[in-house]
Amino acid sequence: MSKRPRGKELPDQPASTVGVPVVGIGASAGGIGALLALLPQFQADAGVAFVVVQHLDPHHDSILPALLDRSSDLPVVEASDRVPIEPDHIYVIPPNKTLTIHDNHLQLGPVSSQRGGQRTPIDALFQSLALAKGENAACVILSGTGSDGTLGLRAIKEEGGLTVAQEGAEYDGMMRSAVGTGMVDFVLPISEIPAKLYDYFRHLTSIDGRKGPDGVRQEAADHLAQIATLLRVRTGHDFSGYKDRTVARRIQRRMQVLQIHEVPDFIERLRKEPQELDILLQDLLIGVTNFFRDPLAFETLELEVIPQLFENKTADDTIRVWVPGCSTGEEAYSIAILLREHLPEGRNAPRLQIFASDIDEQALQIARVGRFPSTIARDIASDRLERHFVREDGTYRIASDLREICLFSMHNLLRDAPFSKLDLISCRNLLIYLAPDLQNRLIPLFHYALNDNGFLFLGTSENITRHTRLFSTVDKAHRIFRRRVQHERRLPEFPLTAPDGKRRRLPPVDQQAGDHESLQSLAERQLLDRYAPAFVVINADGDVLHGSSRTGKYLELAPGAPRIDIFSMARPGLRPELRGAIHKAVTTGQIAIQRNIAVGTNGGRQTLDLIVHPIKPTAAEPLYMVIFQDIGGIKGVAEETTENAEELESSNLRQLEIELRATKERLQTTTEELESSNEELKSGNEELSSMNEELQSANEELETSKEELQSINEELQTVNAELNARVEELSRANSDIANLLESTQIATVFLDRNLAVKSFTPAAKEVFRLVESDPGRPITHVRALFQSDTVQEDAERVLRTLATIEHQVETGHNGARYMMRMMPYRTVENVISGVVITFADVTRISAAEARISELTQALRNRIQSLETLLDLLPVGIMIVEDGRSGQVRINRYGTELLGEPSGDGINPRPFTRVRLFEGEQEIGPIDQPLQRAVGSGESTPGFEGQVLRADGSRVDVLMMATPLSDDGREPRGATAALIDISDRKRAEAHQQVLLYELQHRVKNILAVISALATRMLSGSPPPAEFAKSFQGRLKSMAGTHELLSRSNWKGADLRQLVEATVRDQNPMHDAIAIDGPDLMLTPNASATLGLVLYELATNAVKHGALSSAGGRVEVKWRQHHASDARVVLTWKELDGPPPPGTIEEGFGVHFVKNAVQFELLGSAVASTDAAGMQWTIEFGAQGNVQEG
Amino acid sequence: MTSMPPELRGLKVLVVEDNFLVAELIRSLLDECGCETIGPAPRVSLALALVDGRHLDGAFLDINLAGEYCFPVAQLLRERGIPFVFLTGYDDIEIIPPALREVPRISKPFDNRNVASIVARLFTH
Repeated sequence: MSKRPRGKELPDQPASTVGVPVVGIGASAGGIGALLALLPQFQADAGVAFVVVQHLDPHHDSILPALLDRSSDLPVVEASDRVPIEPDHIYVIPPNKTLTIHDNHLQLGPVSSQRGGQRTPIDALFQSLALAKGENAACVILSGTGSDGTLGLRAIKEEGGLTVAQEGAEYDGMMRSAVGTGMVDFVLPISEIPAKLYDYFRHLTSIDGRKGPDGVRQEAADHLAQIATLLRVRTGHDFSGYKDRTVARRIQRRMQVLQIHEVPDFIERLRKEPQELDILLQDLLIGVTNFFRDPLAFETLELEVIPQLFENKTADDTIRVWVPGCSTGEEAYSIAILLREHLPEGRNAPRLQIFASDIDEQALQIARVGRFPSTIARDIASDRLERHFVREDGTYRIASDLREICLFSMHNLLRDAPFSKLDLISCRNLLIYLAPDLQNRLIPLFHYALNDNGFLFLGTSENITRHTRLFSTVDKAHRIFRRRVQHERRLPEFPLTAPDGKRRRLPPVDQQAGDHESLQSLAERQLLDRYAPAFVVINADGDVLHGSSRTGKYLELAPGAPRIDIFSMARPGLRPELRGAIHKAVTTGQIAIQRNIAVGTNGGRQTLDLIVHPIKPTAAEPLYMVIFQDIGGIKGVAEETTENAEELESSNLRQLEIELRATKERLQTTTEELESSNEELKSGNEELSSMNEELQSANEELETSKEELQSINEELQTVNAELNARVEELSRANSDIANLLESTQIATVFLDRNLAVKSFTPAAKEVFRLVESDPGRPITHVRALFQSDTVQEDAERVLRTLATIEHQVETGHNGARYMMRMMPYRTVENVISGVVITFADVTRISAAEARISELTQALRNRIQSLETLLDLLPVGIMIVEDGRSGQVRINRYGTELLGEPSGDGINPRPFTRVRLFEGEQEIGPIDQPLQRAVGSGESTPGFEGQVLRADGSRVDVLMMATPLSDDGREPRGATAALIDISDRKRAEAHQQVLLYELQHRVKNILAVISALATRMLSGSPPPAEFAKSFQGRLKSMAGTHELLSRSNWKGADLRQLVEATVRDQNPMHDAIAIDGPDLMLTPNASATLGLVLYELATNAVKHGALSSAGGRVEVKWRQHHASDARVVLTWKELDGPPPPGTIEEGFGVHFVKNAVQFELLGSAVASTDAAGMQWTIEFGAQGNVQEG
Repeated sequence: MTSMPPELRGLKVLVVEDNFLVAELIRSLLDECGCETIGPAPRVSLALALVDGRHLDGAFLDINLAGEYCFPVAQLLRERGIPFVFLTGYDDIEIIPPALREVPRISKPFDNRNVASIVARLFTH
């Protein structure tokens, strides 16, 4: 396969045979984290170089080298162009470049700017690495999305290098894509990758010396047969025919990967771990191929063969080409390119169809995609590249018209039936893998598959060898051959491989079972084989499914392609009878018997009975057993000649006629059947072709979609990360909501549009008898704990009107009250998708409301009483509810006090209208007690002042003010009481006057007493006499004052005055006669007369009539009612001792005369007669007698 | 008597007093000082008659004369430039017209000796 020399330059230093061993590392999304984990593990002195390709944003400088340098012991450098690779270095791709390796040098290239195409820098690196280093290379695929790296990894593997992918990558898209090819040797966690790489290269060094001149170790070849057997048993693929060297090289590579030194150890490993065999098979199937591999050969093909293919072809024809073992499709596409280039223009162009087949499905997958690394530019002329490929960032993709021509399918050349009616078979470099025996058997197969004059194109080292009778040589050097026409077409013995082609499907245990077959069945088979009539089992179509031994007498393989239907295999003479009998058996389901049929067989005729016996196997398809029952032995021809010639002739004639007639009939039937089935097949074929076309275009679309999907996938990764965050937020919000619902204790039930319960909160169980399984049930099926007749109706109304419904409900069992609120459930998109019912527990609220209304009523009553009281109070009340409003309310009395109309009751009015005075000083609005209480919270216990009434007059008032405040804070307002104290003020003034009067009188009296005492003392009387007479006078004055004060100083009645001053002076009351009208004297007159009468009485007692027993005094008075009314009082003493002739002028007489004259402006005249002393006292009424 | 300053002798002093005993007392006190008592007059009208056309050196005026106030007499004396004092039992100045509130007052009952000193102090100029 690989033509690259290996391990030859420096056998003793294999690690440097093609320079430094290099490990390519590819990473994309999530790659930096992986790199940071991977790089620190690299050893500083292992002699291995690393080249890192990370997908980078092309528009930004990369800090990747610096980033990685910090984490690695090895020097990390950004790759630059044409720099030789040194061991123990790490090279990192710069942004917006492609990095490749050529002959131990790094090479930087531009990046295609074409949009839409994929960038595959990892593929580019790996592919170049594979070519440059061969098995001295390894690649590692780390985290990333997409499929970059897969093609490159394949190249590494094909060239014998080691392939590793990261296990547990953050983004495993790239890794999965690579693993999907089956080409990844190891899938390892990051921590195990370095060790594996170093082991690999170390092993490579250690075995290098044991390779043969061709790089193959001899011992591998020695044990090949053993390994081939193991492979065949496990996989059904027989590699025993493959050429030793190729297989040995693959086995050697596996051993290298597994680091097994000795072949027997490897075989032992294969036995123990059968999956190793699968891996080995994958390795063996790796194909290496190029576009136009062996250019000269293709040139010859183009010149010699292609034009001939188009000869005599019209638009109805199809040029059919088969490329077996196509691997990843380069060979097929090469031929497609040639055909496309020679395809005539216009309507006459025949259709092209290339069948490309391989047994490796993964390779086929790559072939179908048609994407190839840029290295193909070496193999393809630039004009072809331009015409037939589309450049997609680092790769070339086959144009879609070529892809339409090529049909890739899974097909095992050795086992499956070949394609047929082909114009060209190109089977290059496949035969070399096969042993000569198999090669020899394949050539006839190709012969069979080709049309007459079809071409066969083989690899440079392959040949048709001894089959020159089947093919003629067109170009010997380039292995182009042409089918010979004259030779009969015959399908070779098939399948071509080992005796048991089905071994893969039959487990070995079945074979074992065969050894222990019971004796009975052995005997039965012997019996059947030898003594029973021959038979075959067919289905209704006549296909032979099973046959007994010894059917050769009746059946033979028809010429041409082998067919298994019994009709084509029947010997002459048997076929019509067979068709009739089978037809009968199929249509009736009964046993059909045809007797005495003569069949021409080997050298004679055999007469037999043909029995078609329907059998009912367990399968649905009815089967039929065709039994050939011989009658007698074979009659030789010689036997017949002994019979009578005439008889024979007529008999023959008759026989022939009968046979001819029957044959004609059957022919007719068969022809008709054939025609109809032909028709069906034609239409079926057309349908299939069109379906095929549709499928091809659908496939094309799918390819495009896949690319789009890949880029969408990248975006989705990002979106997914965002979504994850969203989901996290959502679940947190959800949990918040759940907790909220739990904590609010608001019973909530969510209904859908059909009023079935969607969900509910735990608290809802107190309102409905809900259980966890209730969601999904209609709400009407759930028993409510309250009167729920209207729930359904309400909910329907909410859905209809989209309005919210609220009313209170009461649960029966505990008297709890709920406010039920129903509203439409709106989704985030504002779509109504049901109903939400909430129940807020308002039990306590209702109770509180009732209590509040009760209290409100009481309060209202109280306020009413207070308002009434305020109006009734004889006190002015002023209330400022809110200091900021500047409004004051004044009750009825207050307004009256202010002299304002009282009609407006207690309505608020502005403050400043009340004007207040203290004396003459007006008190400013802000200094008034009420405002001070409002403003500073200062209360005034009592302020006396005057308010100005509306009519301009002033009223004395007492004012008290108290601030109003809530909770002892700043005052919000104030009240003031206003009491009218004008009456009291007046009373006080009057009192004062009275007081002064009293004082005046008292002082006057004291002055009089003082003067009296001075007068009485002027004569220096003896103290005892003075005391007596002074006391008597004071006593008299006191008596007069007593009278006066009894009348509240209005005056004194004259009679009482006389009685008090005269009678009290004398205990003999009868001696004093008093007579006169009622006369009320003024206080002054009373005082004067009182003292005058006392002096008269004292004198009478001392010297006059009262000085002796029997003496009497008459006191009489009268009042003249004239204009100058005068009062005349007479004092007449009777029956006393005879008076002296003259009246002694003492104090008493002097006082009486002068006092009356001075004080009463009257006169007092004394006279004496025989009877005694007589006084006449006269004074004017005016000023002395109270009027009225 | 001998203690009385000789300049008081012959001073004519009007006494207006409605109480006989008090009037007599003042007259006797004036007599002791050697003064000539004019009156006593118990009424406003009588007092006014005494003041009219007569030379006076001073006057004692009782404010309340049987219910009449003596202020017309006081007014007349003021006009005549005759010094005088009020005799009164009233402590209340309110009843005195503001124009007459500076007039010296002798509160009843008075110390007999005050009469002589008042005369000496007020009526000798």
